Amino acid sequence: MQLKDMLLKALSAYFILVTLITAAVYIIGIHADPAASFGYEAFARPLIYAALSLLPIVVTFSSRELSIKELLFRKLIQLILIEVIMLPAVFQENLFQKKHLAETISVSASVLVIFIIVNVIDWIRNNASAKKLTEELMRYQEKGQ
Amino acid sequence: MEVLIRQITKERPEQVEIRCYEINDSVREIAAFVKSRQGQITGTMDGSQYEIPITDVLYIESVDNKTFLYCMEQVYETKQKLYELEELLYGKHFLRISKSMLMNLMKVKSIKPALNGRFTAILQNGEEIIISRKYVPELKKALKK
Repeated sequence: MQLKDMLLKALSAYFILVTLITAAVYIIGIHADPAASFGYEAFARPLIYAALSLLPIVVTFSSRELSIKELLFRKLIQLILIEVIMLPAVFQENLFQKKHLAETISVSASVLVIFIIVNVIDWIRNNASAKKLTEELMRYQEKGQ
Repeated sequence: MEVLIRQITKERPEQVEIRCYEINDSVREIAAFVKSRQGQITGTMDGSQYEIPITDVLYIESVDNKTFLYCMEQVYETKQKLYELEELLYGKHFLRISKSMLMNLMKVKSIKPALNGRFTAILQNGEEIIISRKYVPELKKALKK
């Protein structure tokens, strides 16, 4: 994958991540601490979390084409790195406290779910591209006969 | 080598005759070029030589410095290099889809997504070949022509 392609992919993923992280914060927050109130700085959190979670995308960058095994391995590393970055970012000094264990597990699970959703959206987009290519191919073949 | 071109009347068949001291690679190259312009490539299988219509070729692959022509059921080896065939077959529905492969666009049944921005072409004989990410823009451009 070219670096330019990776950056474009990251930019496209960023806005999806902001939406999904906002939804995750809402779902976890409404169950964990429904009475909590925040200032305006809370609106910046999903934007910051999305940017941080994009950093490990560099692991998937390679100037040569990767095999399926290599790609899946790199995706796993990417997921682990996202977890390693996000948990301290969300909990900061409260990360290893027992009383926040349930929230820690919820956030960790959310990271996994969001990671899967982003990859599924990517797959759906690629599927749509492939379908469009197939239609153009059929038209090309009709013209060529 | 002197080149002579003589215009003839329509009653006589068109012909290219090469008069040479030795049938060497240069002579074979000229003959191969003329055949390819008429829509044929010379291939060998089990020691026998065949003239294969390019319309029968599904894809061409270069492996270990050897070039192979893949048809519906048979595979032939050709002495021509992949880059030579790419030039000869320009405008004849063949497209480079990876570092080592040319694909006949007229022999593709459909396209589906593969991992990491690549696509898989499903050929008319059921075989699946990978279209490298790097060559996807060229494919899109070719299909729009």
